[in-house]
Amino acid sequence: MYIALNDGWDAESQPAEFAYEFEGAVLRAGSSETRFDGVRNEYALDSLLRVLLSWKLAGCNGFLLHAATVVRNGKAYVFTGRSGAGKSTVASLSPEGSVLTDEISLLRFENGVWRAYGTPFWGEFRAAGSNTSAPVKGIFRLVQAAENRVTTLRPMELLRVLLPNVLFFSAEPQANRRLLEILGQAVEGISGYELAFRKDPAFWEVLPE
Amino acid sequence: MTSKPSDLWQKNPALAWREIDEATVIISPTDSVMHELNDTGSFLWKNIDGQRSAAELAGLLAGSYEVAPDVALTDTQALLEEMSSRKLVIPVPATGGELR
Repeated sequence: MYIALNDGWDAESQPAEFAYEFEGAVLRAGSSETRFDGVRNEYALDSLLRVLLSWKLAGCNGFLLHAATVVRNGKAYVFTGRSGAGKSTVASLSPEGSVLTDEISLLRFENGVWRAYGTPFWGEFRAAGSNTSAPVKGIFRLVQAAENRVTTLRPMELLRVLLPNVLFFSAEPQANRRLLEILGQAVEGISGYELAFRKDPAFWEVLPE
Repeated sequence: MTSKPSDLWQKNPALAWREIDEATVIISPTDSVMHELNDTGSFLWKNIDGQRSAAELAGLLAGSYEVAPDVALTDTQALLEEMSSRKLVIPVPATGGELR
C-alpha cells in the first residue's frame, strides 16, 4: 500500500476508485495506493482518515459507528449516540473496563463473530486507549434518565438506531447497498438494547453479563 | 399525481433495500433517508419489477391476502403513488409495449 500526503496527483495516469473532498482537502483511494492532497491541518486529515476507513471497511464486512466501546470481562459493550448522548460519560464511568474509544467505534464481522475495535478517533475522554478488539456483547442506545434500565431492541429498532450513527460518505447506490447488507447482518447478529442511565457507574449493574 | 391501473412501475435504481423483521427497509443514498414498508408494502415492493402494472400487482395482492380485487387495486394505486411521491418507485416510460 502506497500512501502519500500532499504529494500531487496525476489524474490521467492514476484514476481513483474512491474520492472525497473536505474543505479543499482531497482523498483519492484505490486498492494499492491512497493519496491525501490539499491537507492544511490536522482536522482535515482526521476527517479524511474517517472517510477512508469507512470506505475500506465496506469491503471487509465492517463499519464505523458513533459509539464508545468499553471492554469488560472480555466482551465489548458498544454505547452509541450522537454528540451529547453520553458516550464520553459512559466511558468515564467504567473504571473496571478497558475503554477502546469514546467517540468512533469500528465493528467488523470476522470468523463468524462481530468484534469491536478501538480507533484513533477520540472525543472528550482523551485517555490512552488500548489498540485491541473484543467480541461484541451488545449495542446500547444511550438515553440519559433518572433510573438505570435496559430494554431489548428488535433488529429493525436497532437498525433505526444505527443508521443515523454510522459514518458513511458515499452516495453511490452500490456502496449503500453494501452498507445496508452489512448493517442488516449486524442487527441480526448483534443484540441491541436501549440503555436509560443516570450518571454513575451503577448502570453497569443492569447490563447483561 | 393520478396513476392508471395499466401504468407500469419500477424500483428507483438509485436506492438500497433489504428485508429485516419481515419488513423492507429502503435507503435513499442521496438524502440518507430511511423508509420502512409494512407487510403489504413489502409484498408489493418484492413484486415491482418494471414489467407489472398496478392492476397486475393488485391481482397478486388480492391472491395472497384476503382482500377484494377492487379494494386491492385502490390500495395498490394509493401505495404506488405514495412511493412515487417519495421517489421510491418511478413509472416505466411508455415503449409501445416492448417491456410486456
